[in-house]
Amino acid sequence: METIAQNLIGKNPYRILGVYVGCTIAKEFSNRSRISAYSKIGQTATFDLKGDDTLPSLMRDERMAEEAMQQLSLSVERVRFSLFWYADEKHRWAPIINRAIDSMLSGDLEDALCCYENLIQDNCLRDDFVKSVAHGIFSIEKEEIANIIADTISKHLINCNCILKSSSPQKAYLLNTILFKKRLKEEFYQTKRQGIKNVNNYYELYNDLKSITKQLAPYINFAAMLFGRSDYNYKILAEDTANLIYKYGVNILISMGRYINTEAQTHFSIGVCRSEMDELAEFVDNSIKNMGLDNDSRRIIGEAALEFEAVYSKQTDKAKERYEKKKQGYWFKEIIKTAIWLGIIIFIMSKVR
Amino acid sequence: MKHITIDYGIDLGTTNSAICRMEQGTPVIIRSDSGMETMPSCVSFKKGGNIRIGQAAYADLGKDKIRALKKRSAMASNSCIEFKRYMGSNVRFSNINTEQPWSPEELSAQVVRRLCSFVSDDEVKAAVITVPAKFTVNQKDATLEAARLAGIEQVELLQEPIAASIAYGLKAEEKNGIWMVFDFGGGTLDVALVHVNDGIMQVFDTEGDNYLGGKNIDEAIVSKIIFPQIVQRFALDLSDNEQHKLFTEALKVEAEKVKNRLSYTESDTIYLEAGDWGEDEDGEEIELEITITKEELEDAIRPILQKAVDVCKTLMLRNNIPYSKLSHLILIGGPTFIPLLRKMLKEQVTENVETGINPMTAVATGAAIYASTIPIKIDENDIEDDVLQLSVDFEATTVDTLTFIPIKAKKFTKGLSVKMIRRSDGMESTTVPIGEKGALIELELTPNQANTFRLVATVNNIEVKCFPSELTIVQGTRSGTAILPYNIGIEVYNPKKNRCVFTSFTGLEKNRPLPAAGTVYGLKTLSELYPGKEDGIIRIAIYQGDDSAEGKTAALFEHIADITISGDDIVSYIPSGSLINIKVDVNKSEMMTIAVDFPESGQRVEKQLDTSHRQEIKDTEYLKAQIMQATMQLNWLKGYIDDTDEIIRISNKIHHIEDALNGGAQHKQIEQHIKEVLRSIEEYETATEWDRERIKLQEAMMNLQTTVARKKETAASRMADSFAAQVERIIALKDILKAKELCNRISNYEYSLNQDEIYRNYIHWAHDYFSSIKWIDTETAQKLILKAKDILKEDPEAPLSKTKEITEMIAALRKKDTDSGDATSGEMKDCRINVPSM
Repeated sequence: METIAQNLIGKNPYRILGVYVGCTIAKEFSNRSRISAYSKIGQTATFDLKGDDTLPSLMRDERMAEEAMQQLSLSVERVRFSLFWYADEKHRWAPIINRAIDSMLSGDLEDALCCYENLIQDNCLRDDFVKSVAHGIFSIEKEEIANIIADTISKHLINCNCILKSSSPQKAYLLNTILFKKRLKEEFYQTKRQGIKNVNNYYELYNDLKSITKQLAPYINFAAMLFGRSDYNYKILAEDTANLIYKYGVNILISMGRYINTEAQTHFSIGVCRSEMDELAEFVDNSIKNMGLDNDSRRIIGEAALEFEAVYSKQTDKAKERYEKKKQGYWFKEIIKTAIWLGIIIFIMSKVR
Repeated sequence: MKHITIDYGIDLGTTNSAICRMEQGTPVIIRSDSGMETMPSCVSFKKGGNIRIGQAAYADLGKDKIRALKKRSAMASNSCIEFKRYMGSNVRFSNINTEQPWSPEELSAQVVRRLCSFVSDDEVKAAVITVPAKFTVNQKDATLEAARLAGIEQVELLQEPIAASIAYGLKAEEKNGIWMVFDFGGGTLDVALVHVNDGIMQVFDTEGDNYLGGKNIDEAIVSKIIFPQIVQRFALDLSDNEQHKLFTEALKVEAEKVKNRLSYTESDTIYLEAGDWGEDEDGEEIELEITITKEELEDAIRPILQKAVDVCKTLMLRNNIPYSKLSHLILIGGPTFIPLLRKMLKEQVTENVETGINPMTAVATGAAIYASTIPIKIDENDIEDDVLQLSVDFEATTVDTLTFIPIKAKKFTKGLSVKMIRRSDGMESTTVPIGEKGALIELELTPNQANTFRLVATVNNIEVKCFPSELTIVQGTRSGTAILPYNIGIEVYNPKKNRCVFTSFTGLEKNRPLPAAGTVYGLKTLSELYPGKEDGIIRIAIYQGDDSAEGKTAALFEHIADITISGDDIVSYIPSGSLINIKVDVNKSEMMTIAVDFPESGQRVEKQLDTSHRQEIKDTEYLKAQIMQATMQLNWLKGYIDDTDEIIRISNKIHHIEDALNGGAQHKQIEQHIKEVLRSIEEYETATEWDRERIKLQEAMMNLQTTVARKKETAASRMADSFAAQVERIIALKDILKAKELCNRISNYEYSLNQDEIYRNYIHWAHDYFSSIKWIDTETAQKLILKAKDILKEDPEAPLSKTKEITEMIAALRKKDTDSGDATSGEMKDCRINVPSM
């Protein structure tokens, strides 16, 4: 959120030009000329604006003013920057924009998104806003403006925690949907990719699986809250998570299989590993059950489920076999040991007698 | 005359040119030696090396073309016209009187020099020259070169419709609103949309056609009206292209005259005088009187005019602006005098057609106004020693009534003070002491007029001579500025598409005001560079493209120039895959400077983009090959998808291009149209990619289901069910990438189900066709095949575990037959064994 305040709002070209959104174009040019004139004699033009007490101060110069004018030269860019700076109170849409800016500056992104959602969902208000800032030579659809807002916010967010924390994302449905598709999903898959590690130790793998399942949960919950569990957006995320859990489960089982195959293992450690296989299967089952997948999704993850089942059955069979073998060997050894001891005792006893 | 701003504007037109100068805030057209406001862009070469330019050259044009016709040689024509159409190309003009071929820029330089010679009281050292909005960077470079050859030291370029809008803006009473500038010149059409708010003009979009102008109208009159009558009356063989062209050129002069006269009368007569036009095939002397009515003329030229009107419509549609919102439609250029065009514009675009501005001089006027806003580079040697040199920064046009003027002495002078006095009413500013850093003078401007101020400098209260001694600020309007007519981008290799695609610079999008700067960050180099070594290079290809260029094949757009970075440009090794950031600065005339950063090694290379290369005009064979390529690509698409409206549209376009090529259209124009078609095909290919992937996916699924049904295994049928659900999902979401990936998975799974059988069949196939297969080691192969056959004899349904190793050994012994193509070369592809079809 800090970068939104510092860069997006603090360095907004409207702020640099010392104007509020919705002022006349003549005012923008006039202030640009003033900044430029002052700059040429080594002075800085100042303007009294809202937000000056919280935002970093600006030392306006000719280059900054030129760049700001350039940034505001295309209508679509004007609309973009207009959404992130205080507006002239004379416009009826100004209170919404101003509240959104205040909310962002105080770190409340959820409220800011709700404000923007209200602006874009109200056709009259939105049209009036676009007409004012682009001087009537540009029109833009609701979805496009929502994309602009989402893209701009997304660009200035380091991570999406502040969005994921939202208690009622459906209040800003359109914006959150776009943020979900463009940013959250990307972050979800990045988290998924980062979680996959190449280690041999099945304990570590199992811990990783638990950790990644926990990390992915907020994204799945957010999708469930925003779209509902029957929506494709939710289903795809949940299915991909289920597939990941199954595939990770397969890797863990294979790693456990390798562990069991090591000659040094006793039937006790094989037994422990065997019970951990069951625990893993239970964890996998429960995690997937918790996602509340419907039949359609269950069919889709069937491919991964089948593979997991096959590997589970193969590894548990192998474990059982190894366990029995090790157990037999153990008892055989124990009997021999006992017999030797008995022989020694009998031998000693006979000597004593 | 000493200037502080450029002040001169030159309209270098295809058929006519003009020059204008700002005099105390007022644009003044400088008349030619024959007293005209414009001068024909015509150069003729006389015997003995004498060159005539302008009106004198144009007066001979008719006779000159007839002489060439009679002598049956274009070389016999001593006059050069319409050379602007070839700016930026390698076309050369020559005739019997020229010692060496002349480039279009050299001929243009003659026109510019002649125009400048009409200024009797000054030497034109700096000027703004106008160019069509759709001129490419190379064409602009050629225009700058023409100006330099004419001896102009400081040149700025401005797009013609912007110049026209500036001229109109100064004159218009009701300024605010949306204007359309319709600039229909001799060779080009430019249309611009201008938004005017509080007197501030901003051009927000342009569109045009570099190959549509008054000359096309003349050609239509010749081909549709004059020629048919001549052919009807005389036995003429026009199959000889050269002769046909000479006849057309000669008749175009007559066509132009009749076109002009029919703007005011209902009918007119062309008289082809005996003796001028030679004889026909039967030896009869050509002499004909052709009467043309206004109606006939309008029927002949209507399609061309409609094409021009359609450009306006495209522009309006693209900007989503209803016609009712247009407050003014400003007509510029000679062809806009045609009554039919005005009628069509009124009927199809807007009633608000403005005719209050001179269409022939508006562009030069606007260029001069714009020139008055650009400071001139002052040669300090030109300023006398006893004159105090001041640095005064001001905006020549403004909508502010209160303005701040920063003033500084070039050399700090103690006790210096400056005040400004308005010439018209003697109003004085406060006297401001000028410190080391300078000072600001606050000026009140008289609204809606040119305010000329005299600067009064005093040192310790003693008045001294200063430069500048005067400046003019026009209040009430703020002139528009040059904008980028295209998106500027570079060619970047896209591994997903396996081709080089257009990637736009952020900040260099179409319609950005100039100067502008753009960046492309986060790219990676494909080759490595060693300091001092020239063998490895990084080539950065710069292109210009339209709104939809992003992500499309770069080669289908206009190539501007390349920048190459070699080992000579760097100080330390740059490995392949290094990060590279590119920044481009574009000046007001669209000339570019590039800065390339390698952030990992902290190196920077800066280069000026060399746009001086002239584009080669492609020959007919090349263009025919390109047309063939487009047809083949379209046919390939037809193989997947039935004929749709789009395919029919593209196909028709290809036929039109073929016709135009056969009809002798300009090759550069044909080349551009072929590129347009190839872009349409690429767009269509992308748009239909999903359908093609869906068909492949469904086919793979059907194959799997057939295999599973045959196998009757529970696990396989559960797997197939999962795949079927995934296919349904992907089809619902139309996800191309996932479709491709799933298609591979399905076919791999199907292969794994069939692998036992495939391996067994391979053994049988190798045995049956042993003699016709080429082996690396025939003896070993024979032994292995016999061994494998024994395995199959023992167990005809032998599983993979028994056949795998030996089958792969047999396959490895086969010679790869590269010539026979699919029949044998694919059997080990992707580590798979397949039975080749024999």
